[in-house]
Order: sequence, then structure tokens, then C-alpha cells
Amino acid sequence: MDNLKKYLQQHKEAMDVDEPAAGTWKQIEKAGTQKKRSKLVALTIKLAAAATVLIAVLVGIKLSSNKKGALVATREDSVITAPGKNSIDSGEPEIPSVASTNKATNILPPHKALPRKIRKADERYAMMQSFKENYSQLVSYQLSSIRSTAVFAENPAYFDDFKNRLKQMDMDEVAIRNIIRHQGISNSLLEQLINVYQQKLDVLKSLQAEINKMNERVKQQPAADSLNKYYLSI
Amino acid sequence: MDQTNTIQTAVIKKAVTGDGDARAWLYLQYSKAMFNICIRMTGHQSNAEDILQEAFITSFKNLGQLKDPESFGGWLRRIVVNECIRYSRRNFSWTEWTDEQVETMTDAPEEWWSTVTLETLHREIRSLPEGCRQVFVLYAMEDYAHRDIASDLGISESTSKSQYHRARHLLRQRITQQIAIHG
Repeated sequence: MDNLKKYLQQHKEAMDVDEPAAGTWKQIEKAGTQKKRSKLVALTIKLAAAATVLIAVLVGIKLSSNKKGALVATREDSVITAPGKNSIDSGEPEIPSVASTNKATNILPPHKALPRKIRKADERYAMMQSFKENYSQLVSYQLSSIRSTAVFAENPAYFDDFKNRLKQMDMDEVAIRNIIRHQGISNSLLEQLINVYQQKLDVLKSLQAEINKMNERVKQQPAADSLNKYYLSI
Repeated sequence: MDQTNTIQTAVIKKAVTGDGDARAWLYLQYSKAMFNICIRMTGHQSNAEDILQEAFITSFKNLGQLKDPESFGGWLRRIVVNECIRYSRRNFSWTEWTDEQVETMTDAPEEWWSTVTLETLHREIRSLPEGCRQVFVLYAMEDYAHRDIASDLGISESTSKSQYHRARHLLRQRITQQIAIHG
């Protein structure tokens, strides 16, 4: 270590002579409160979005199972109510026999007949599919917004960190899907998958914010017009 | 010292829960030292305040991740320095740097830096030109290795070394000039 460095290291604390403006703490405090508030708003929005997706999925499952049930019932009904040879021959109106009517009323929607465990797993798979579709739309929307934003500052390598994080999340998603494929789906795996999607959106939002912030700064500089712009490929 | 650490541990536990008084206490304890890092790195009061603000907001947000409350000071310092590096990368065109050769100079036999007050030394460091100032602060005051400075600022190791020598050279020149004028 050279002598100057040694000297500075020894007297570092004594060199702290400047002080921040009195208002700095107020700004930090204010930002903290705002963040808390916006966090709460974001959480509410997230919960509302999740609830909407969940309701949509459940309604979808319900409708599809009802359809299947109705289809099975209709098939049964068609067997039951199919005009028998006799009725055609006799030319009398079709009247289902008592026994066959009982059979029809005994038919339950197929999901009710399935074991509860399987039913739940089916619902989870449907939910997973629905999350994937909904989040994919949001992610591709964010991606296209970033791809179409001109960047005026830094070089593309500056954004490598964001790209790496996104790559890592893609890998995480694949890993979770592999586990689901091998071990079946569970609530915790579903939750992990949602977290990955959520993180992806967060990273993309931060990336967009970072680009906007840097562009703003650059535009304030006098020679901003002469700067080269480029587009991120992600 | 132990008592201070115990108080700090208790304060941090409260600050994690979002307690405003606890956070204000931490700010009072550390803001001056952290601000001086910022101002040496940026050279400007308002930019230094912006970075200080960002760093404290980040630290309060991630306070829950701090495993050892006693190490808060060091942890906060790293956040501050990282924010300063991010700022430097954003606002200074490091790509235009070349490994310019600075005339090698040997320190005068007397330690020229001890002929002025520490306050003067601090002011002179603050007014060093962009680029060499950041390298100087990181190397001499924050104890970063040239290899780390190079990777953090996106420059070569030899550029980091040459800019450190340039900063030293300028400091010496300015300080000896001051002494010659004011005595």
C-alpha cells in the first residue's frame, strides 16, 4: 500500500467534513411512505388480478365439466329416449320407460364421479395453463414495449444484468415445469410458477423504468440530439 | 462499543418493521460518513444527496436481508459505493478512456499530503476531474483493488492504474501550488 493511501485510510473519518442538506431525510422518509402506499396498491392490484384469473379458471372448469356432464347425460338420454322398434312399429309417441328414466337421473356430472385428488389436480393444471396464457400476454406486451423504445444512453452491455436475470427466470420456469411433469402438480409448485411470472414482469418493468430514466437524463444534456440511439434486443 | 452495538441491533430490529424513529436514528448515525463518500465520488452536492437518498431507501427496503445487524455500517457503505458506481457509469463516458500514460513521478521526499489540513485534502479530492476522481476514491479511500475498479467501471485495469496516478499527480500539483501561494 502506498503512503498516500495509508495516510488517507488512517484519516478517512476526519475527512468527513461535508453534510447533506437538512431536507434529505424528509425526502427519504417521504419516499418510504410513498413506497409503502404504492406497495399496498400494487398488492391489492395483484390480489385482484389473481382473484379474477382464479374466478375465470374456476368458471371455465365448471362450464367445461357441466358441458361434459350434459354431453354424457344427453348421450344416455338419447339411448334412453331413442325410439324403440316397437314404438316405431306401433306409431305411438315416445315414452321412456320408468327404468331408463331412473338411469338417466342417476347419472352425475363426470367430475363428481372422479376421485377428489384427481379432480383437484385437474383444476390445478387448468389454473397453471390459464396463468401461463395470461402472464405470457403481459410479458410479451412488456417485451414489445421495451423493444420499441429507443435507448440514447449507455451501451447495450449495460443492460446485460437485466437480460441475465430474465434468462435465469426462464430457466427457473422450465425447471418448475419439469418437476411438475415428473412429480405432478401441487399448490406450492403452482405458487412458485406464479412467483417466476411475477418476477419476470417486475424485471421488465424495472428495465423499462431504467431506460426511461436514462433517456430523460440524456435528453437534458445540451448535445442530446447528436447522440446515437439503439434498440435493445431481448 | 458493545453497548453501541446492542443499541444498533435493537434499532435495526425496529427499523425492519418500518419504525420511522428507528430509521431516523440510523440516518443520523451514518448519513454524514455516507454523504462524504458520495460527494467525493460525484463532486457535486445535489448529485451526492440524490445518491445518498437512493442508498438509504434501498437499504431500508432490504434491511430484512441483513443477517448481522452489527455489520449495518459496512453493508450500507457497500450500497452507497455501488450506487456511486452506477451513477458514474450512467453519467460519464468511460468508453472514451484510453490508457493514457501519465508521467511517472516519485513522491517528494517529504509527504506532501500531510502539509495541508485533511479538510483541504478532501476539497481537493472533490474537485479532481471526472474519471480519475472516482478511481482515486475507490482505490485510495474505499480500498478497492484496481481489478475490481476496472470491472465495476467497465474500464481496463491499466486505465484504472494510470488514472489513479493522474489523480495523485494533480493532487500534488494543486496542493503544492496552494502552499506556494498561501504558504
